[in-house]
Amino acid sequence: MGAPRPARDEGKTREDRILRRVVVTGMGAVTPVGLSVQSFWESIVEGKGGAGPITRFDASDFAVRIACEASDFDPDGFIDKRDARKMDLFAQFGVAASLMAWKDSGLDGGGFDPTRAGAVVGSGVGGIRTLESQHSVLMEKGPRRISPFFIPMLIADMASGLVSIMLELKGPNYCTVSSCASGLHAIGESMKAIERGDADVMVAGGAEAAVCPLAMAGFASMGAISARNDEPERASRPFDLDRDGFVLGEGAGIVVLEELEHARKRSARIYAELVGYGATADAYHMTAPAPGGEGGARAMALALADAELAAQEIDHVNAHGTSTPHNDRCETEAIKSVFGVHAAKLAVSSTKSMIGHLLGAAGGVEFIATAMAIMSSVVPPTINYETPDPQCDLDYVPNQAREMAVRAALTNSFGFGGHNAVIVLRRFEG
Amino acid sequence: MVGRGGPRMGLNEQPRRGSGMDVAEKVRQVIAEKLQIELAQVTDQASIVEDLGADSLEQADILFTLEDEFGITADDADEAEGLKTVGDIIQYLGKKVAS
Repeated sequence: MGAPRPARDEGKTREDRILRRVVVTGMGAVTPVGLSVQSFWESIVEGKGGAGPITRFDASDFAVRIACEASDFDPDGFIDKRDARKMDLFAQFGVAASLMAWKDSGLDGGGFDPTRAGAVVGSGVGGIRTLESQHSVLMEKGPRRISPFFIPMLIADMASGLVSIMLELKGPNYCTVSSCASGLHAIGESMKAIERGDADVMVAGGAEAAVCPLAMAGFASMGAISARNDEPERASRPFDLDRDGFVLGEGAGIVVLEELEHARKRSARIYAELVGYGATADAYHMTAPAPGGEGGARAMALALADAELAAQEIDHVNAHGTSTPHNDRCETEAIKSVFGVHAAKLAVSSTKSMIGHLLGAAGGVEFIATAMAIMSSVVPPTINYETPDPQCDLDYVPNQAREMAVRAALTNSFGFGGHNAVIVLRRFEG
Repeated sequence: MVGRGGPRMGLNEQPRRGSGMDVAEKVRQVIAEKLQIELAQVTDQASIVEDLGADSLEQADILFTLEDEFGITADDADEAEGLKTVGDIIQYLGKKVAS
């Protein structure tokens, strides 16, 4: 794999090297199986899936007519009407999840320096629904009828900007765009910003609302999504022999990351500690992963090295697990190449089996599932696992959640373009 | 046609032309709706920016919607820029609709 970092002094621990530790003190989520972290977690532990026929638009002419929608989401509970009408749905998801995470952290009560608190909310395609509706206006009524709000609603960074505005965060603020890795890159980069001392608090994650005609048609044309229209609830089946693509999902997953002493001083509740982050590129193909999952493997190795944890200290992997033939095979190979003999002992589960693929929001929501697994000592299942694939021969926690201690866990996100992000979380002991 | 994706932005509202609603009523209704304020606040003397709190984008959005409702276009951007109060807008549109 190659030595990613120079040799460290004997006897020194990670805490000697990393003077500023990063912990999770708040979480918020909008997902196809629950509009809060609690309802999301309860659903996935139960093995409840969120796939169904598309309701956001008339998909009857489409090759793929299923998705995992967060269709019960109502911005009214979070955002006043005047603001909501100037926000694309992806930004509404991102802001709602951020407000929930912020409240969860207790920082809504103040007691922090706003110039040292930032936000990074990633998104793969930003305001694509607004793009579509305004394009129709352009075609039907001409350019002078394009809304003055079109640009602010379109741009992928606006969820991040709005979070900064609404929570009055004046620290680092931008958006990470790396397709399916956007959300996890946001969290990883935020973790490093705190470690470097650029901030004490970071609101980080991803938001996506791409269940719309163009996206559904585009993903179908490239053969990436499952066409199991007659049985949507069985369509997302990561690692299963009969998997035929992912099911598109929507929503947002946001966490509050905080420097440890800052959190301790205010007696914050700590969910878990972030101890490792690895980011690499496949440098291979626009959409297919590198053979052997080589890029993902390097990202996992880097994250483990950053965490200074050995393979056998990891109990659980929240896989990228999209349910595509390529990813699930390559990711399995990557896990085996990094973990060696210990790979067989890992509990590897895919949240996407239940919530579908949330694209830019996936990393955020799946990070939350990983933190919850550590806190609760329960690993959620990979549902729809019916026929093992000889090329995918790990323990995918089939169909039923498993009660087990999770000392440390990895979460993977691999995006189109060959972008890989991996984070290692560890139980916080104090 | 392929479905409308985004949230309502006023541009997708059903125009209620010829419903007997006059220009003044329509202007007040659109402003109240866009800024999410009570109709009673939308007095002729109220300044869109200072009193009703609209930002520059909301101002432009209000005018665009009204132009759309009455089937007119503001050819002169300077004209539109001079509109400060609700009454100004009512006057401006009244003239355009009549001509």
